[in-house]
Order: sequence, then C-alpha cells, then structure tokens
Amino acid sequence: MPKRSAVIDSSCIVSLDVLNLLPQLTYLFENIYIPKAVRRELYDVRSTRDRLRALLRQYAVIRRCNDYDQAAVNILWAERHSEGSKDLGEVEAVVQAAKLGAVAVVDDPWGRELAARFRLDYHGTLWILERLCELRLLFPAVLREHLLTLRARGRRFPLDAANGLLERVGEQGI
Amino acid sequence: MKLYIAYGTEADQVIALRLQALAAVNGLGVYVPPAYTRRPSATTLEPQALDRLMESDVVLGVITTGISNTCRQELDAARAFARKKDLIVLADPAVALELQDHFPGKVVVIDPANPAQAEQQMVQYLKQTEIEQTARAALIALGTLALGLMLFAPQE
Repeated sequence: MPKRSAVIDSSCIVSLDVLNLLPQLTYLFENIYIPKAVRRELYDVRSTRDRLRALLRQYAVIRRCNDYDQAAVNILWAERHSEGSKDLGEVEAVVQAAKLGAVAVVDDPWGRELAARFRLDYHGTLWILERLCELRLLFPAVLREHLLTLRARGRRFPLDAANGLLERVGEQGI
Repeated sequence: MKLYIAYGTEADQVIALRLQALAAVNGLGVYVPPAYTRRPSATTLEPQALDRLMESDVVLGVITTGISNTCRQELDAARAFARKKDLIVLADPAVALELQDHFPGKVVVIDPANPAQAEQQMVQYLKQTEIEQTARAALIALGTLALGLMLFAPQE
C-alpha cells in the first residue's frame, strides 16, 4: 500500500473530481494535501468553492496543508509573477511537496519545471490516469471516455501526450 | 447489488475507499459515508445515510481501531431495518469482543496472525445468507479484499 503523500494543484484535483476518481487515488497516495494558495484559487469560484468544501468533508485522506517556507514561496512567486501569471498555487504545491517529501501533482508546465528544479517526483493528471489503468482500476475504454469528458468540460491537457497514452493502452486517439 | 460500508473511524475510511474503487470497476455500487460523519461532532445519522442504508442489499462493517457513534448507529440501523438486508462486520481482534456482544453472529474477526481462519469464517457466514449466488460470490471476493486491506493497512 502507498506510503507516499502527494501535494496537488488545483487543475489536477478539479479534473480528477470531475471524473469521480478521487477514491482511486488512495491506491497511489497515503494522503493528498491541498496547499493554502490552491484552496484560495478554488474558493474564488463559487462552483469549485462548494466542491472543495465538500471534498474536505468527504475524504479523510484529503487534507489542508498550511506550513511552508514563506521566503522560498515569495522568491518563486516573484519569478512567476514577472512572467505575467497570477497563480500562486503551483509555487506552493511545489514548495510544500519539497517540505513534506511528497510527490507534486501538477499539470501546469511552469509548475512541472519548478518541481524538476526542486528535484521532486512530479506527475500530472495523465500520469494518474495511466497508473490507474495499470492497476486495472480503469479500463482503457473508460480512460478514453474520461479524456473526452475532460475536453468537453474545458479541462486543458496536452493532446499529444493524451493520444500517446491512449495508444499505449490500445485505444484510438481523440 | 448495492453495498454500504460502515467504517469504524476516520482512519478506516481509506479501506472503504479502496474497496469502493475496486467494486466500481467490477460494476458494484458501493456507498462510503463522508469522513466528517466519523468526527466527534457527528452524533446522529443523516437522512442521506439512512436513504443509502435502506437502498443497500448488504452492509459491510470495517472496524480496526474503534467505532464511532455514527458507525454504531449505521450498524444498529442495518440490523433493525430489514429482514433481507445482510450485515457482516469485519473487525480487528482488539474491538471484536465488544462488537460480538452488540452484533452476535455478525462479526468476523480479522486476526493478522490467522487470516485463513478469518476468510473461512467470512465465507461460512455468507453461505448461510440468502443472497443470490453471483452476488454472494462478488461479496466473498470483496470481503477477501477487505481482509487483505485490513491486514496490510498501516497500524497507527
């Protein structure tokens, strides 16, 4: 059973919740932490605010994490902000993951680059879907349906990587 | 077949969620009550939980370290509700004795030192129930998985 925890960014948790796959994450991670900035991003939108509240009440494995290296976050945030982004979520997710020795679950390319700079184990939504297929918790045909659902819901993911994943599991591209 | 998992405490929810994930992929409907219902502030069964209990064919108790108020109420309700509802409580030896008094004949002790006996006891119990054969087979499979998950769950 998994011994590692994950710190998750907003995009990943929203996508996995849309697909009703949060219970399945218990096979991959012992705990799933949501940093303060990620929660703030989700609280800013009414639909995700209500959903986040429900998730925190529903699942014992989904937890808030609040303690982080503020100085590191500030420096990285300044770098991120200079590139025009207003999202602090990825920065906190990576800094928290480094502090907790956890996996960073981030879809955003900048966040993934940052996680690599921190030498963290980092993955995104597509990796999780692939792992669930490997564990036979998700059938390949269902995986394809899920990717279509995400696209229809306006959730962004790299199409090349998604089609590569579908090919690996023997499904047609989308 | 619809299954309701009444887990003992918040810490046991992970076992219930893993069972739910496995059951979902095999076409079984499993309801796992929210974690907040296991917190000390939760004192009564919520209407949604009662509805799900009424709808379920089988109530599976999963109890490792202790039993919350709400879990006890769920198991009581399952026992009281319907003749056709089956109840099976998988329990760690540390809490099994107390549960056996409350739910005689419904408790399967999951002894880490003797998992084979636990499985045998569970299969025996399910054979006596009036569940349809395929559903019974699915439940035995799920119960065996629960057994494994309880045995391999990290101990606090």
